[in-house]
Amino acid sequence: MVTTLQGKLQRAVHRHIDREQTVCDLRPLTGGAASATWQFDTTSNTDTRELILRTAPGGATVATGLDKTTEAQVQSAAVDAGVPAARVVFVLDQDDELGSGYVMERLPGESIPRKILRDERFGSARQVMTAQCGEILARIHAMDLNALPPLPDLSAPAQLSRYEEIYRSLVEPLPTFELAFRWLDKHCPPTLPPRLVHGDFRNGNFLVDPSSGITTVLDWELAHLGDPLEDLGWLCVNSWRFGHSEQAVGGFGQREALFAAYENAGGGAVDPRRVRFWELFGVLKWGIFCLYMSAADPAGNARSVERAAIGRRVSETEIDLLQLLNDRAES
Amino acid sequence: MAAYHPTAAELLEAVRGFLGEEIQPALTDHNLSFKLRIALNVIKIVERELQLEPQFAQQELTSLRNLLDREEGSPEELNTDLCVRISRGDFDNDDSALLDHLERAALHKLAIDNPSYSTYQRLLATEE
Repeated sequence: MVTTLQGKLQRAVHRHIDREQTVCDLRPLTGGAASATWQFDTTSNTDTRELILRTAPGGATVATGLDKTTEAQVQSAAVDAGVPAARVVFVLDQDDELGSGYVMERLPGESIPRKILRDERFGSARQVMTAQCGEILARIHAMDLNALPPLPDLSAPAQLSRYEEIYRSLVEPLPTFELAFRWLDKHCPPTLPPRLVHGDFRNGNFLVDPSSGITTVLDWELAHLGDPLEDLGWLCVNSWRFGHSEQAVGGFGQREALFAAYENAGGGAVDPRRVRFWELFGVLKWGIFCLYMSAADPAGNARSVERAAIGRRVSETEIDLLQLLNDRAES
Repeated sequence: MAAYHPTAAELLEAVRGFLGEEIQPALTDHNLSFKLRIALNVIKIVERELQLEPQFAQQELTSLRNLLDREEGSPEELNTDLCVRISRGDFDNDDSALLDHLERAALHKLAIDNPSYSTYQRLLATEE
């Protein structure tokens, strides 16, 4: 009986690729909260492949992301539509005994925001990333919904009530969050025909090449149908500027340049107030995620140090919400 | 209260020194050293809280009482009351007394949680 991850993955590779491939260099990568990620190679007499295994982890998360099979389908559809994303090699099935997950090609590039924003070697990449974001988003938002698996339809009112419900279930009410919910209720934009929304399109989910900029968009687990401008607002959330606040777009660019690139690439007219709604909502959503992740385990288990620490990031979202509510945010 | 020595702050400083100077350099596991960095940061948060919180708590209580026009009530009760009043629409979204109170409270929290945060640094520079 095969029990180890390496053994099961080897068997899956034999089943889905071919009998000649040997799995080697299997290593865990620091993954997101809603996925577990490993990198590995397969070698045969004729070739070597560099691959990524992405599976659903145990434990609840707030985001209720897509199941891994659906995520793989969305990612494949994006590749087919010309979006820079990793090609899916195969999707795990029950006989693999690895839970739900998929294997994709491993692409080169830097994903760590602080390096991308600070290192000199990414200087020319930073010059082109804002326009690339506009173009890539326009392409994602133009994708044919018939080419996609069934996805949750999350318009603004639906998301507001979902996050308010999560917030109300947590222990301590925060006056700034109350004010933000009131503002969002009042400024909720009318619902438009739904488009594919990436859902986590931000600095940290891009692979960046020093000369060519963004080569790959990662993490499709929060994809849904909804308002395309949600992706533009989320990209501008201050937490994803990683200290480079004066550059509203991911710490590397200005909103006007993003909007112009998006419109030029056929993304449709951008209403800045609508983007602002989604930016404010994005800050609140991140704050509620931090609250949720750090909340006491109902079973009474001690929090991990990461989970405990993230609770103290709520104050970052409070001050950012107040700047947006107070209309004092720069640019 | 009897004086405890070394003080809580001094105990934490010693633990932080041990973890940072002796354990951290000995770690080769990337994941463990990542977690240790977070743990060290948590210790710094607690150190700042021990130092700053008593003064902030007093200022915030006074500010809450003024804002709500109440003379009694624990900080928790006043905070809940404020949330209820905001939620039922007692304040306009641009009420400057409310926004000023909330901003001061958020700045106090950030002085403890993460004084290097960009927005905190920017607002501090504007104040000076």
